[in-house]
Amino acid sequence: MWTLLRHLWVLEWRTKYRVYNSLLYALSTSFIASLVVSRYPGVSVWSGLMWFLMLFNSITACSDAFRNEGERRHIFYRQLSRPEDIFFSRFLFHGLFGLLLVCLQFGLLCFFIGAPSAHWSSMFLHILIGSVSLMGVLSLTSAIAAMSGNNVSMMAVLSFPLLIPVLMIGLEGTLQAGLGDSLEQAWKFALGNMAMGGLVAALGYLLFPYLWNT
Amino acid sequence: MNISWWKLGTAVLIVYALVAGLMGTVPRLVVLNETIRNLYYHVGMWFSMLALWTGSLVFSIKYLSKPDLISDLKASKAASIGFYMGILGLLTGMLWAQFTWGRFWTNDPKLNGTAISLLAYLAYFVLRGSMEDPMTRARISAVYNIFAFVLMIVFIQVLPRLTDSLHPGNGGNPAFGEYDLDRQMRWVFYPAMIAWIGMGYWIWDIRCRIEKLKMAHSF
Repeated sequence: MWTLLRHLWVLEWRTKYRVYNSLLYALSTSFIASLVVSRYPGVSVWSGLMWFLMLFNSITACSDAFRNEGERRHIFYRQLSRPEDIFFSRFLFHGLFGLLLVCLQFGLLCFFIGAPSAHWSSMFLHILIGSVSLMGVLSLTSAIAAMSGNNVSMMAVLSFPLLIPVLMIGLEGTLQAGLGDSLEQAWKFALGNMAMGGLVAALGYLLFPYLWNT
Repeated sequence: MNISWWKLGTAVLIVYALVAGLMGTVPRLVVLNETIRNLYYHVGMWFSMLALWTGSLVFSIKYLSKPDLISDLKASKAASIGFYMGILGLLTGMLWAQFTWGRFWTNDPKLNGTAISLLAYLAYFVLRGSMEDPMTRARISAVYNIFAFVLMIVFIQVLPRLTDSLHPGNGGNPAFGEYDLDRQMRWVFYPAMIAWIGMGYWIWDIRCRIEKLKMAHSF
């Protein structure tokens, strides 16, 4: 599994396509957001904007998680490693990548629009927790979309309904953390989101072999 | 004539649910008034939908453990009939909401959960439509079906408990069982639930048999 992770890293480093793509995406969306929204827009607009940008950013980052595999390389992978390892290496890789992106997006939004509230650190934690389960859902749906043969539009169709729960729980938790008056309630949401992430990872572990073995 | 006992029972129960549900006595309550009768139909549609989708889940799991196009057929038909039941449940619920909450649609966790699960099953049908090869289609859509069902159940169970809801039985609102002080409604409620689940199962059975005949003719 670690070999697979290193392999993904090397592949990525060779082209740096995804890194630049996502960097540019994060930068330009935050800049557009700053043009649209005035300074200090209030917690609800700020966190709504953050989650919205995060959603699109992670979809673009994840949509080719299981693509760019030729038919020959697919056979090669199948002989060398177990499907569970393949799933977890990609899940980890994209999850870590997504976390980095979210940090970047958060920083950029803070820079362009201003920090959302005095409780920004706990908001940030909620966003990080939410982004992990976001990535979990996305990695399985991108695998399904890739196996069904038609990628980008199918990816959006499949993942939006399943992402709404994650988004709603995450957004509500972030809001309550940002308002700062009901932290206990906010942690309940964070716990809910963590459970969601764990569930998604477990389901991916169980279901991915069936997708992979054609 | 060859009619199996459960079909006869379902037919009798549906007639009973319609007649007794509309004519029987119900508790007189402020705001709810006669709309409490919707309980027999609205809740029944959800029960039927959940039963069908659970059936769909079972056949999807069965397909993955032992590939067989008949289980795929059953899973997809159960999903689509469950979807129609869900639409009916949504419509009856909206009608009820108009007369008690004053609006057809509110931003309520229950309603959001419903909308999301219906969307997820629409995505399932789109996914099925996008693939040509029946074996690939069966396998990939079975995986998506299991994933969507588990997420849907978790969402419907978890989110209304985290936030307040206007829906009876949630967020401090009393459930219908507490309104029904004289226990009279139960005599209609439970038979009605069995009736609607039976009806869903009946339609599913017919649809599967039609599809099987079509498959037999095409070979």
